[in-house]
Amino acid sequence: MNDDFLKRMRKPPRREFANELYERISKPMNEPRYRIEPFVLRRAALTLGTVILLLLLTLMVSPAARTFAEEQFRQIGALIFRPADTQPAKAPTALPTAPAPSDMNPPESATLLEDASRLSGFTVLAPNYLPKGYQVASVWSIDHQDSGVYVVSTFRHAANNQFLLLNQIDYTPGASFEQSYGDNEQLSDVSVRGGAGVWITGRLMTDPTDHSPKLQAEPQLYPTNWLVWQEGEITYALFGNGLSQQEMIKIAESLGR
Amino acid sequence: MIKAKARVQSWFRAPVTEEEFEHLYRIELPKIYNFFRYRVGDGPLAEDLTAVTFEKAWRKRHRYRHDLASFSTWLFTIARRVAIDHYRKQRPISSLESISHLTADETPEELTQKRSDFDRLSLLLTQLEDRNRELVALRYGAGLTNRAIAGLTGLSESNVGVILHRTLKQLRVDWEEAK
Repeated sequence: MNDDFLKRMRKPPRREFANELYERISKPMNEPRYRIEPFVLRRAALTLGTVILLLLLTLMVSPAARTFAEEQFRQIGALIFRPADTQPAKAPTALPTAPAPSDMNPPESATLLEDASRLSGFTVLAPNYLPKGYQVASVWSIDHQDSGVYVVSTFRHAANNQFLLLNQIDYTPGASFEQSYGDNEQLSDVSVRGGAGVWITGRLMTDPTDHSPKLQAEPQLYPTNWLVWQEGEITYALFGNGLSQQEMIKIAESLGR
Repeated sequence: MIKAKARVQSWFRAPVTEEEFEHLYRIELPKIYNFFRYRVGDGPLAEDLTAVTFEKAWRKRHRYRHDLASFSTWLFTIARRVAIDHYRKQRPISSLESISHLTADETPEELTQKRSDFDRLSLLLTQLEDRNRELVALRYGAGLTNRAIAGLTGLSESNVGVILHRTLKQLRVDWEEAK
């Protein structure tokens, strides 16, 4: 079909129009190539505002969210303010692991207090008082780790499956007693042996004196109490699953050479 | 060979440059202008919408990539949207109303007698369905092929051909009658 009557009506744009238009659109050619449109900025601001509002509402309504946020802030703060020469934090003590030194370097053992002091390089103390039913479960264990020298003595209650450990640690410079605590743990300040100490309750851990295969297969967690203090360069941690703060302090007060 | 291939690939993925834009502007301007003349009518409006199309194309030039479409296809995609926006904004005084206004005082026959050929054609085009008028504008205004129109509109090439054939047939009859 003849379509000439349609085609022949095309006409070129006016020369003035073509030139003016090109001149007009040429002007912004010198502008930055990636200019952010105002509506994009407005939309981004609106989205950001909405997200912040939702976040605040969530924090106001949900205790779990608040706890999580607190934990995140605390960890960020620990990352920022930790001295440069400190070592990476150890695993949180709320984990079902015993705080005994690892087996990477087999620990030495000593049956006499003098030998323990000689092997550890510092004066090791022993309790002169133990609550009724508790007795020594193992010889002194002296473990040389990168983070310091750990001297561990273990006690058990013969009848009611309770354990008690005394760690005496000479930390290497930069290392210190684990400062990360789980939500289930409660901390309070106490006075021990004439100085300041920390009383920790609710810390979950397995029985470090139990090496039975059954425990390995089905780890059982016990809430434990800890008494931690420092004397000179040595950090002391007395902990177990059956003793009160009063009994722990009494044991601590009895420590001697 | 590998360098040449890499260079070609690089060009395909590169946005259009200022020099290329000026060159393409000179080529595409008459097509876009005539597309709008056939789409919305002759006069300042066609020029305005042409200007809007090229201004948008320039602002968005960094989004254009050689490997995704030809510059012409990309430009007509913008032009079609500009036309749609125009009709959306101008709906109360759209072509249908223009017709009623035109026919209020004079019949199309009387009016067409007084006008140039293109005015007559414009009047006939306003009576087409919106889609058909757009196809006519793309085919006879801009001079695109049926294949290019199919690529732009999403219709099949044969469908474009059939619609244009029927539309042209009707226009031809009306054209002869309006003489």
